Amino acid sequence: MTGPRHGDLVASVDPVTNRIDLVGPAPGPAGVVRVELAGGRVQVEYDAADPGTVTLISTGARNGGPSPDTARALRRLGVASDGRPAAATGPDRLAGPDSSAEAIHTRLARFALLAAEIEETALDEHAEALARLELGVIAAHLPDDLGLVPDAGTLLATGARWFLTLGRGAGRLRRVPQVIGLVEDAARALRRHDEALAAALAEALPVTAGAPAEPAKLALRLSAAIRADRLAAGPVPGVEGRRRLPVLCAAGVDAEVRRAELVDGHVVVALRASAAGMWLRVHRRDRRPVPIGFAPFPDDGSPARVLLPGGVVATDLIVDVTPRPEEPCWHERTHALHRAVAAGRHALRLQRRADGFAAADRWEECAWGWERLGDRRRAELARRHAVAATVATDGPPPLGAGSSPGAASPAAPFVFEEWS
Amino acid sequence: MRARRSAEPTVEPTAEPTVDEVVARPAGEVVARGLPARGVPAGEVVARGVPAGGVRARRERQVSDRQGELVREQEAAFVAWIASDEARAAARTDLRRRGLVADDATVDDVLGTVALRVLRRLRRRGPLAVHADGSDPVVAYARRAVTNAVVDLLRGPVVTPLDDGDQPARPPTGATGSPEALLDRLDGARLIDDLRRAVHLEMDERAPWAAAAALAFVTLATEPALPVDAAVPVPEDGKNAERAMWAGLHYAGRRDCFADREPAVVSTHDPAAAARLARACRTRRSRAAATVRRLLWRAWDQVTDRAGGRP
Repeated sequence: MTGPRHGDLVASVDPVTNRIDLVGPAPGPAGVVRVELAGGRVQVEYDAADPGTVTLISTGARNGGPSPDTARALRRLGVASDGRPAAATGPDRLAGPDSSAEAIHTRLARFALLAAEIEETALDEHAEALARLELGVIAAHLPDDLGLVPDAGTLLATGARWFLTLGRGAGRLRRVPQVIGLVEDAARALRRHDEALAAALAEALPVTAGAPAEPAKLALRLSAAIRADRLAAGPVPGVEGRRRLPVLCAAGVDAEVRRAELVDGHVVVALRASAAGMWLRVHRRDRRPVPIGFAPFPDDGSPARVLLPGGVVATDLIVDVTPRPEEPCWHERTHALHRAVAAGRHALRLQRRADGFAAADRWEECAWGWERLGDRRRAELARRHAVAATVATDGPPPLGAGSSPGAASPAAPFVFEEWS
Repeated sequence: MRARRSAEPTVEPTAEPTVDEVVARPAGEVVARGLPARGVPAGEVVARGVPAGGVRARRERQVSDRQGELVREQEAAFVAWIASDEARAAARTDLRRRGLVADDATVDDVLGTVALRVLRRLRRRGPLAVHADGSDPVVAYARRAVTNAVVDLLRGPVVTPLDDGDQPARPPTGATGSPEALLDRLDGARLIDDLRRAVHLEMDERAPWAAAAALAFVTLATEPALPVDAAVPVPEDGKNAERAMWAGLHYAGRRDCFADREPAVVSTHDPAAAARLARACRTRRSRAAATVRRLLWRAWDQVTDRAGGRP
């Protein structure tokens, strides 16, 4: 991977707010990851599949010029609010000698990837504790005047509390060298913000000298907990029925539609498996779709049923399956876009875990999704990633941040991912 | 609005203004009218626990009233903005900057997402802080919400928000008017679709069953003759509203509210155990129905707030 590329950003003024955005190349097939700086006024987006690429910096600056903290953050990123390269900044006390814009972008991209990973995967408590701790450690290696949101102190404290609440459960983590390194780093960084908590975290570590590391596969099966992965294959027509209905499955829904039909004024949908926690939603088509009814899928595998108002016909309906019924109803195209991105994210996750063939399958799925949306550029990029994933399957993955949070490549596996 | 195919039977069109027309009303009209206490249907007495009194309580009430007024003002300003060309232009700009197609459907989805998020934010966490420079915080917040919604399209589905701070700041309204009182209003109202949207907006993600029950209630309350599932329990002497509520709970998957009606329980040889179970079940049913009613009244408040007091 080449270094972060932020030299070809073009300034663009938002016609609504007069806010200045620095626009780079369009993100690839796995979408973007994002960080907020300058107390939330600056947002930086990186290409998730190519975290060396800055796709957009929203400066928060208006025509009158940036505020002082915004200007400081932008200088750190190596750009001015008009998109031109900014003068280099000197070394930073906390960041160490390597506080160049390139190094900061590398850490920020890694931070953004890990934050997205925490948000987008269902981690078990051990994995979540490690991930949050690592997020805090990465944040602690960034200069304070970037104004990262949330700040390093908050992140470290949250991670430490997660780790400490594991109690006895942390025992099996304590024998893994990478985890020990991570916890030591976190305790050291936390001293600046909360000495008592830092001491508690340091004490949570047992005497490790000479402690044998358990075989990796036995010591942790953390990433087995990553579940929200297998994706539905798009709109699935119901099988034989009185009135078959197309059903949209939200990205991340691991369910196959067995039956979907309109019967006696009800929408009836049955899934083949994994129905726990899933909801059937029926909306009436409109510019703003109207929710008609929601129903949970029963645990016993029987179908979910939604009662329809009189006079509604099948073509009026948008039927979807989602774990989050509170979310708005989307058109099919938007669902498809989100599914294509989610497939790319899943591929990246598998790639970090050196599961190249499975990653290639997901990239193919991602490519197919973008192809259907008419986006040939992203489809082609996804196919290239698929080929690269199968070529790069041999050998161990590069070392993650546990040992050297400041130096890790953005795409390297995270500590919680290294032991599966 | 997207045109419906005229050859197909559809839901009866309403003679009332559409939501878009309603939300386009000037904000002043919405906030100027004297609203009854939120969530309390006219003429109903609501138990509020210990009566508030004293200077401190009065001051707290004043602050709370002012906050409520500010929220309504900001809601009105937001719904006017989200229906504007400016909001559509903002969504298009953000989509294009990320190399996405900015067609009408995608723009509608982005703005629909923003509408839900911002209105929920205002209702749960109170008004937005007014900017020091006096500029309008609503449009700035909404503009940022548009960007976030577009970026979310290019992210995976969120399972665990990093900062899960979006908890309700406002205690639930004490309004628990009878289902009949609500039915009277539903009979007279034509803004049923708005009510359904408001139920979705007001729903608590920790209890989605309540929204499911409320939506089924609205359908059956407005069309009691609809054929329902054979398994739907029916109260012996229930009025229309109670039948609709039971059906709503059934469709929402709250079968635990009707365990006392299972044949195995009814014919049990231990009458004392059956009576205990029936009592527990009635309590559960009653609590669940109260939750659904509260949600419906909150949604009703929202619809009537927006519509300037109608119907």
